Amino acid sequence: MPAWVSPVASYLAGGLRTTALLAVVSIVASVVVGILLGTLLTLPSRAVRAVVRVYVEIWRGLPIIIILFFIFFVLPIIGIRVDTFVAAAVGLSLWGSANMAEVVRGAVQSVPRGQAEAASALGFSWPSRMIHVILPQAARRALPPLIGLVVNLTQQTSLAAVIGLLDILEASQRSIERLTLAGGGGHAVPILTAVLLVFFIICLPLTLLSRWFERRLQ
Amino acid sequence: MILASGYHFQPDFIFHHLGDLGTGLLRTLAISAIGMAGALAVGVVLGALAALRVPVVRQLITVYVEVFRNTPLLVQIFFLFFALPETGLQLSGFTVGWLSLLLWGGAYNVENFRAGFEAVEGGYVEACRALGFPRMAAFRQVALPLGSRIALPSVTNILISVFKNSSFMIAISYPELTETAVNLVAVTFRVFEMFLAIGIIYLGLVWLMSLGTQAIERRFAIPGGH
Amino acid sequence: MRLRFGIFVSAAMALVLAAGCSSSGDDSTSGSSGGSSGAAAAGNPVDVGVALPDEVKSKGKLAVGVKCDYPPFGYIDEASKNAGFEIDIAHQLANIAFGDPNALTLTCVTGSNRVSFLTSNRIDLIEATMNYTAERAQTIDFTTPYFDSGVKLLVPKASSVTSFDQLAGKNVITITGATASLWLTQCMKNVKQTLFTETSQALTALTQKRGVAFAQDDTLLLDLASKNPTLKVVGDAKADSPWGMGVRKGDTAMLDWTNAALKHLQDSDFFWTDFQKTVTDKSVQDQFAKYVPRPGNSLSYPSGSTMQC
Repeated sequence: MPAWVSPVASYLAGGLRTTALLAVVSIVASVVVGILLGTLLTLPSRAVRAVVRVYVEIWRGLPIIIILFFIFFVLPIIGIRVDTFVAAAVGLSLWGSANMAEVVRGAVQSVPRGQAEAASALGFSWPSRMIHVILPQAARRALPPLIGLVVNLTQQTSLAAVIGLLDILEASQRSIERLTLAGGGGHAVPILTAVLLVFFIICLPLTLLSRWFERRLQ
Repeated sequence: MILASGYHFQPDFIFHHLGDLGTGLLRTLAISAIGMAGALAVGVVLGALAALRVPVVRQLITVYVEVFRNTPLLVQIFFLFFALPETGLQLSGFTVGWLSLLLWGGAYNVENFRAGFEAVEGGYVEACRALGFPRMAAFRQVALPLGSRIALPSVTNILISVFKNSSFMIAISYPELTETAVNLVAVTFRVFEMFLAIGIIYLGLVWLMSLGTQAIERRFAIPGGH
Repeated sequence: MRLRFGIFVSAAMALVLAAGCSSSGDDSTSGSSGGSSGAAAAGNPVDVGVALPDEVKSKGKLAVGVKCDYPPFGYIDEASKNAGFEIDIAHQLANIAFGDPNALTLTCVTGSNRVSFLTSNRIDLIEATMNYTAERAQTIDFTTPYFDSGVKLLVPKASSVTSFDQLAGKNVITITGATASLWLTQCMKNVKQTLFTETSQALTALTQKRGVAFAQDDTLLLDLASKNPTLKVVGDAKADSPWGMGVRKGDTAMLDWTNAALKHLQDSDFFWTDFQKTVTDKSVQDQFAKYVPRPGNSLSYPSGSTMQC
């Protein structure tokens, strides 16, 4: 093994830990907030739906890079300052929760209307209709897109490198930087291949799982 | 207008740089348009080949789809721009721009179209073949139009993502809209005005595209739902 | 448990890398010299006659934005630690402030984002190879200078380019927000700039012929040329101007303290001692000796524009 490999590997491993932590935090926050907002989107109240809709459309509509730049460089101007990791986690969670809300809304609305009407006719109130009839079925339908979102968020953590978080991508960039400036050159292929491979190994099983659930639904 | 910590908000600054932002926006639109059109074409063609289960071709398509769907676009872009030249293939920023979007969006669209075609393949196409249609004709006349309509909502979602993800080209310093804004901030330090401006531009265009695709989806929705 | 996980991940990464690197054989032997800490042991803060601002004092650490792609001034060494002339100065400042050279948070910044890092309060001080320009001085306050550089050109050995005049109509590689880019924008409008954010990207782009030359500070280019035998530095220095540290506009407490601390380092001849340690090439040392503040050699900013065409 060439001499440069081992320091680069341990540097990338440190970056991978940050990436993993960022992914876990963003996924948990996105799912929790997203389920809440998605449920609100199915409420009968038009006003509530409108407010949540604005949130969803803004954070789903903006490129994540713009969201990250905004949180990182613009919010401090009005006195809100958070460190790089928190900025990245908040940015990804805003985007992720908006997408999760859409997943939940879509799943709830995919349950045929007749079921809610039937439950209503049987005297179920709106909350018990949701809890006992709609949500259990919606949860099954939401599972494949939910896993898709988890894969997506895991990959999008790489954007945190743009605001300088020392994740696996930034670690790879700095390693390439160091080796290039030292006059070595030509290390982008193995190092970036390693980064691609790490993401592939993490994401592929999840993608396959999502497809398996999808098949089972049909 | 003065914000906390003494930042002077100068909206006219945006207007002074509308020309620069316009040039950046044109580049964003150029790489997005090629990327979107390509992702659509790749999706239909390879999606059909995958659904028709052409041997070998189908496995190759699976490899392409899984590699591009399970790795981050940002790393793919870095790889195309900085690593490929080490192997002798050098692409310009513009080429990497549209090509990376095309390959990424294409991989997702292959899956979307394949799922759409296969959903039809089961029922309708079998019925057609029972009626004596040859396989290709059944596919072209039934699975293609019906399957595409089923795939439409997820396909348009990916196409809008392709547009948004054109901002990733900041990684290779290709001067599209986001990179142009960042470069202007580097020289003028007007961070608030700049990101507000491009945030509005991106949101406006994404919303416009969503409205357009919703209209298309309504127009092509399969009556009675699926 | 934590440690074991770390070892496991490292080993896995090494395997992945080894598997992916079969095509690349050349070992790089990085030529970075020592001087990573070069600072005194922890003790008491040094009295420089001006009190450390309360905000910094209460944090217990000095937050400095430094370059990570600019050897030998600010770069990442083989141990993946920040190193270089500017890093050594930052450790000294932390020592003066808190009596501990490691009471320091270093953040990697680039030419395009260093001012944003400062104005968004993420760092207390920019110490990132920043030339004084009148435009920058409108947005931030400059401390007294601690070095000086001009813009030159890095070109392949075989290139026929020998001066800036020959760049007209050509693609030239620059770094976003760097003095070289500002000077070309102002003085050579017919040059097409291909902008990058990091030195290695620009260097790679030059070797990939994405431009005929890489315009940047002569200090950095000399270092790059010494490590890359296929490249050379040409041209007369343009936009020559001293480097200063940057503090937030109007933050006089921080400005006064930093200036006093820099004066202390100048009086003890720290800059020259450390410069000789980080820049080992004797001819380069001699070339830049006059740009290092020493007792009896103070640098000063030009009164007019530094952007002379």
